[in-house]
Amino acid sequence: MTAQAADAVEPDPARIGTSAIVEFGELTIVPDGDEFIVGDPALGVFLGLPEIGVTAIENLRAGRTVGETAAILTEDAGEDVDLAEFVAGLVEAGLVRSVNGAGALPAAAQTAGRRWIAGVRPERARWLFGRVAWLCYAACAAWSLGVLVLLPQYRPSFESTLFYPDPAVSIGVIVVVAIVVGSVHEAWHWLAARAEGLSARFAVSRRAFLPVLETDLTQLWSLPRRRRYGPLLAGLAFDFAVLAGCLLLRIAAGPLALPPVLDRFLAVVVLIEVIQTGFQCLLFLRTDMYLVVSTALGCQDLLRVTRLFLRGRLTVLSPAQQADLAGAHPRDLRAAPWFALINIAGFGVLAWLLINQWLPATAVMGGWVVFGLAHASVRQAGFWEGLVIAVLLLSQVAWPLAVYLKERRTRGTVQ
Amino acid sequence: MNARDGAMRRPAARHRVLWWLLAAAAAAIVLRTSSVTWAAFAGSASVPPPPASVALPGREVPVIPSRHIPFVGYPHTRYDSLPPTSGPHVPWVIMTGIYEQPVPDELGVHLLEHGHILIQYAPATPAHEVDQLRSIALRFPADVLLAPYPRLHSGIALTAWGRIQILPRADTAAITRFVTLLRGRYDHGWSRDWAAAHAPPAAPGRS
Repeated sequence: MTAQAADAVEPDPARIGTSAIVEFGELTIVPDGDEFIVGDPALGVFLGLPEIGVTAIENLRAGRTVGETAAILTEDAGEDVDLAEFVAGLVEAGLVRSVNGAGALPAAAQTAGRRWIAGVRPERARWLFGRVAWLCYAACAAWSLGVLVLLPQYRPSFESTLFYPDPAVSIGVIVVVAIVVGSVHEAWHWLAARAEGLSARFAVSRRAFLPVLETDLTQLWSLPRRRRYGPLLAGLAFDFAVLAGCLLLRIAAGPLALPPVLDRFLAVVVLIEVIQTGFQCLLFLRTDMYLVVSTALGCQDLLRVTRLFLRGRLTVLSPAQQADLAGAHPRDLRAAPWFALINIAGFGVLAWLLINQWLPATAVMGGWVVFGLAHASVRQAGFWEGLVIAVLLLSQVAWPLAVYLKERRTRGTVQ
Repeated sequence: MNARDGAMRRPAARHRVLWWLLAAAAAAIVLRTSSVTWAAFAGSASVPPPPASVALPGREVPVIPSRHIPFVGYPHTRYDSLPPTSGPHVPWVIMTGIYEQPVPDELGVHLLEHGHILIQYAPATPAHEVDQLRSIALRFPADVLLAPYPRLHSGIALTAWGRIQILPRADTAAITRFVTLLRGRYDHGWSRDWAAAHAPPAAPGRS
């Protein structure tokens, strides 16, 4: 990051002369509808470009100068081509490694410190995502949905939260299970990406006011569209496999003579998995199903464009936001109006959850903490329950808040 | 290019009003449904049950004020039955199912407040009867909590909100009847669905 700041190339067309030599990293160029997705998987930078842009990049990669390349394109197109501006755009996007030897990695600097993780050889991960495996995942999903629809007694309930008479034990176990299940969900995305020969990276993040773990699957842009669905759906596939197993065991609890506490524990896992899969289907947040829908529509940044569109309809956009919206991909712009309706409904759902679940639960737990710590002695369970809940509450609030502050700091640095 | 140029233009005023109306409608729905849900976090008042068309099992126990207390063991008013059928309880709910250890009254009462049934047996209950109770609990995993109750010297106690039946021994038919008739009768208020299904027939000549 420091080296990049010292001698970085400015994304200014006036400073990119006709004799300039532009260097790229290992690029991928994938047809996507009527354009191409060009990217540098190592940097995690991808752009949608028309065919002429790909021709320009291929000529520049062949070692031709900006002037030589411009002449070739002008001859092909039959009109003048402003290649310096195009190259400046590539520099600004972070796709260019250097111009005349001077480093130019502004976009990569944003994600410095987060390493792509390979780890597992693709052939070792492929059996988890072959045709047979996907059939099993589909069967698990069908079985789980069938049980939840047809056998209401096995539907999860928030009453399943306390599966043990000691609340501190229950909540401690739930937190651990939720973190483990969430982590394996993310690892399944990564394994599916590995099966395609790609890498991913992990981060803690937030969706609105909710803390989440996330897997950066940006390298999927280097695949044809139909091969992106597997890694995007892999997390949900894992969730349905767990859900199906737990429901099967619960139904067979009597004949198998399962210990009652195990049956109740399975009910907790069912609750966590149903919340997890339900959450991943919220299209108005950057969830797995949002990415599937966005990919199917051929959009490039549907959520951001929709939020700008909606903001423009409800308030007034700043000139920078107007320019941002005007430069959005036409497919994102076409989808934005109806996707804005989903967003309005989604914000309603979020507000409802905030008012009816998050705030009351926080208030109840806050009261539990205050009364427990203030009125119970250290020899009473109430004191330790209060302490456990205090830590949980703090992490629930501190995690999304810390991510939000980091996002603001990053935005400030980039601007 | 047309789509991009279109995005640059400011939306017509009527479009802006339409989007504001949509947002306002979403906010109104959220606020309308929210006022109902918050009530569930305040505990229950002493409201007697509505009349029913069927003879209910067990006996009625007056519903006492049932406010939330911060934790199990926090001082509160005495319950009016053993085991209790209403009264002070903690604000979190324990899961239905089979428990091998006793469940504190302050937790159990909250489960009753959500329309569930507690089957609690004396520690001296024979093992084969406990197995019988377990089979019943497994038939109603979302409705029943089964646990031992040390303060019960003998027999089986069946409790629902404002209702209790003490059986000298495990009786599958009686327990099933108690569960199927009284589950869902109360859930932070006497259930309208239950009342409609068990309402007394209208008097002749009255509409």
